[in-house]
Amino acid sequence: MSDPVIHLKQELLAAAERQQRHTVLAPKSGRWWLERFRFVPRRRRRLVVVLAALAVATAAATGGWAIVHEVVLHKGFVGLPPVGATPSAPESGELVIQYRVDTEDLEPANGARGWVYADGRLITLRHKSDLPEAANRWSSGFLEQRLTPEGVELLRSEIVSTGLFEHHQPARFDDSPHNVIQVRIGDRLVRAQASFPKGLRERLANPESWLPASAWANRQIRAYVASKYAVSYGGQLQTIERSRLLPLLPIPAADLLSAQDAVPLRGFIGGGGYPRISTTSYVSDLTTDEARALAQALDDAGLEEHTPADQLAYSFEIPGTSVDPPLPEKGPVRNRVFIAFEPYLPHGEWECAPCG
Amino acid sequence: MSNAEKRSDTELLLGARTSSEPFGVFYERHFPSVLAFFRRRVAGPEEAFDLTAETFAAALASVPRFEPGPEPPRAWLFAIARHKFSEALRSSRIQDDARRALAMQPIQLDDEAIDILETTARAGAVELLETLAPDQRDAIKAHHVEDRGYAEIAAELRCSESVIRKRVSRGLAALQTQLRNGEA
Repeated sequence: MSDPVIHLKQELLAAAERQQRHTVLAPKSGRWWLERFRFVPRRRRRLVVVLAALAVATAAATGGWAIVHEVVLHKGFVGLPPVGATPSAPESGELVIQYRVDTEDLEPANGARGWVYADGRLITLRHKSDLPEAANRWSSGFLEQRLTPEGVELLRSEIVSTGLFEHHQPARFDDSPHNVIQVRIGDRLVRAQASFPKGLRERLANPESWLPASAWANRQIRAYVASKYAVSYGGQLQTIERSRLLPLLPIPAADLLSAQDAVPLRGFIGGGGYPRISTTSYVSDLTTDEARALAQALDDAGLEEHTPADQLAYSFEIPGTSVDPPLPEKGPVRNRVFIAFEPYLPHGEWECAPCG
Repeated sequence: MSNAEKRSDTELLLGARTSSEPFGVFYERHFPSVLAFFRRRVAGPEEAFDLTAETFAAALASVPRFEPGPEPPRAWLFAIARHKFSEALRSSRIQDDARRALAMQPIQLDDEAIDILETTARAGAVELLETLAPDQRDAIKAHHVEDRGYAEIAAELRCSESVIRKRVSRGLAALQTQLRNGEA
């Protein structure tokens, strides 16, 4: 039995994390919203209509004036957006820069990923960020800001000035697997994987800290809300064929996924000196409403949330199975099924938030 | 001492809106006195712990609504504790609404855990004594804890016996007021 004082503290801290994860912080005037969106069981939460953090814009519409209500979330979130949140627009965009950098050499979990688009959108995912807009202490969630054309060019030239992208050279590989930058030069994206200077890594991880005011069309951080989601599902640690996997899911979830196309995705678990286990999972594209319906079905079945700090994912053990994990000293474990949700980004790809 | 530990209660509760750590510090700071508050009012340590857990869960759920005011946050916390206690008296059972709303898991107590709670509750009671003026606190400790006579204490402190009696009596009255108001 653990110390009940410590045990209660752990329960409270976990509840606090959940509460913060599911609280949408409105800017200044929207405090009433906090009270409405305090942590409520996920089942109900998904049905709550986002009314706060509301920016009402007036726009001209063909044939006259129309009121356009834009629901902006001023705090990152993990998983699916609250009902009613306005997706980022336009739905697609041309990628100009993509980066993934560590800010501390020995701490790959500290850092950021970013995507810059020709239309000025800057989408970031920051790890262990102290931004007040971060979804939680481990992950900011996907955030969006807007750069001016000057801002995009400043960011681009900051990267190109390293000299690592000259002559359209192919990717460089060294011992920095977590530091990858792609930048558009001409009509192609040139990729470099290198120990970029720490100053550059820090500037990319915190663009607000150095980009001048003229670089920002809208510096204020808002949550990036995708228009569609990638749902990956599979066996962990052992691959399960899709035809055998779907019947293991709760019936509404199986029905929903079996009606979708699925693309096999090959990957591996392990590494870092331990044997790698190759796995194949399956990815289906879902609209936000379909993704919500799937999550609802998994919630209703009482499935466990797997990595709530940086990804909406569920998993459950398959009874009667036994597989050896990459850490063999831990002994065989049951095979599991996992189902994870990730947002699509404007360039048509999705990013696995917790993947190293 | 971490930065969070140096922060005032108000700073901790405001910080708890966006980070869990400050609430952890607030909890550690006040758990013993809240437990002691309930321990003096209910029959067993299990019930006192249950009410304490419910109080902190309700406080956590109220963090987004917490607004600094003239009353110290400790008074806000004990207002929640008093409310939880009245609720329990009214319904003859300890509710777990706040913990359920936060999806907190129940905590089972064994003998060892109960011992820890009893020790913590006693520390909470001693903490109450520390809130008194030093002369009243020393007089109460000397007379009621160390069981020394008024004359002996007066001789040691080089004052009259009636001064010591007054300090003890005023200190006990202050403690009684605090207990009645439920702020300790």
